[in-house]
Amino acid sequence: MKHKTIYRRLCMPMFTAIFAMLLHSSCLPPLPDNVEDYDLTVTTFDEDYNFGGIQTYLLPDTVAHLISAGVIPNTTFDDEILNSLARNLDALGWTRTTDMATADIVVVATAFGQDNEVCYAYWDYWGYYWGYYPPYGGYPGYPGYVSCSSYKTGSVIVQMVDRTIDTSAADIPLRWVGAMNGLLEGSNQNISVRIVNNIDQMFAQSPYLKN
Amino acid sequence: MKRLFIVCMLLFAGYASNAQGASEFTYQMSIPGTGEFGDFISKVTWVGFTYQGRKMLSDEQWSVGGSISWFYMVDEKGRTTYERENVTVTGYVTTFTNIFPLLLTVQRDFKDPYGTVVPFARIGVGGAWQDQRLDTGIYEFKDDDIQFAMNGEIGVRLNGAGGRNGAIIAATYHWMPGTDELLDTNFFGVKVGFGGIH
Repeated sequence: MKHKTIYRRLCMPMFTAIFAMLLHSSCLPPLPDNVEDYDLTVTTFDEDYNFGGIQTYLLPDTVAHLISAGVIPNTTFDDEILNSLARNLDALGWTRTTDMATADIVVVATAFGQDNEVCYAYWDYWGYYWGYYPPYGGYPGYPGYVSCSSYKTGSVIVQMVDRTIDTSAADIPLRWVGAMNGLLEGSNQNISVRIVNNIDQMFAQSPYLKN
Repeated sequence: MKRLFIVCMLLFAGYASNAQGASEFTYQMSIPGTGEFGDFISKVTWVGFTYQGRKMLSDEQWSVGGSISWFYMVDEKGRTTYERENVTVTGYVTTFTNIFPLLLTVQRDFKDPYGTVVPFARIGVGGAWQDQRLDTGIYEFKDDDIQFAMNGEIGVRLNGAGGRNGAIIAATYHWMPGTDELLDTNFFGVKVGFGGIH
């Protein structure tokens, strides 16, 4: 009887508490260790378009930047973007032209960055309690503490548009879109290498483009 | 949904601690099954715990009760390329899930439950709250829901002197049919632990 009492008094509440804590917290995996592990490359294409018929392309010598009015764009990585695109487009067997009238496809690159801030608030649970009379509302809890961190992200979007489309139309069909997104953290050299690698990946996962 | 499950589990644990019968606590390693869940989690996982309480019937080789469990499964897939229709995505992918089954169980001991070696079989039926998540880049894709859950086990209890407490070794299988939010989930397991009759 004493054995049973001790078992019930000690072990059962302990197991109950452990399970309640586990259920409340769940588990999360460790975050990736390297900045490049946060890079993402996405491509999509018009399945009905004949990419095999493309012989020439026009690639403007500037990258479009999406920025707020009055903000000076960051053009540090524009050369890497344009050079990587030209290299990959040439490797498809396409010929670059500067004459819009003779281009089969127009390739446009757009870049933008974003500042992100994440805050987590931790409240002291025991400091919060309801007012006794509901019409008067509850009492505010004791303030906890807030932890914030910020990070920059950058995106490059590459779009291919058929040169023969009607540019006055409300909807302009895109034949292929490649997008990359990642953290704008680390040295400029590191970011440049990652941009080149991700643009290469866009074309590596798009074998249907090749003549 | 998750809070409802916490309440149900606490109520169950409170009841089980006062029931006259048997209880056990086990640790489980899990092996994902086949199908989409086997693709979602493709590796053996090492986090799984179950607490169970049972009431013995007039024929003490039969007992009924319930169990609460927690399984955490993670698969760091590394840099992976996925295709769906005309969209291709490449990124560092990690998939993981937390599963909390709450089951009603029926157990059959194939020998005297107070013997030295007691083989048993057990089935469980109930529900499970699951949270399946896929992280890639700086993005996460998360779904959670409550699923129907079933479980089957065969094992053996090795009782010490007195025949009331002992070690447990068992093989298990869990199945939860898919919902609109979650994949059909199935996995095998090997569990070890200790239990007692009180």
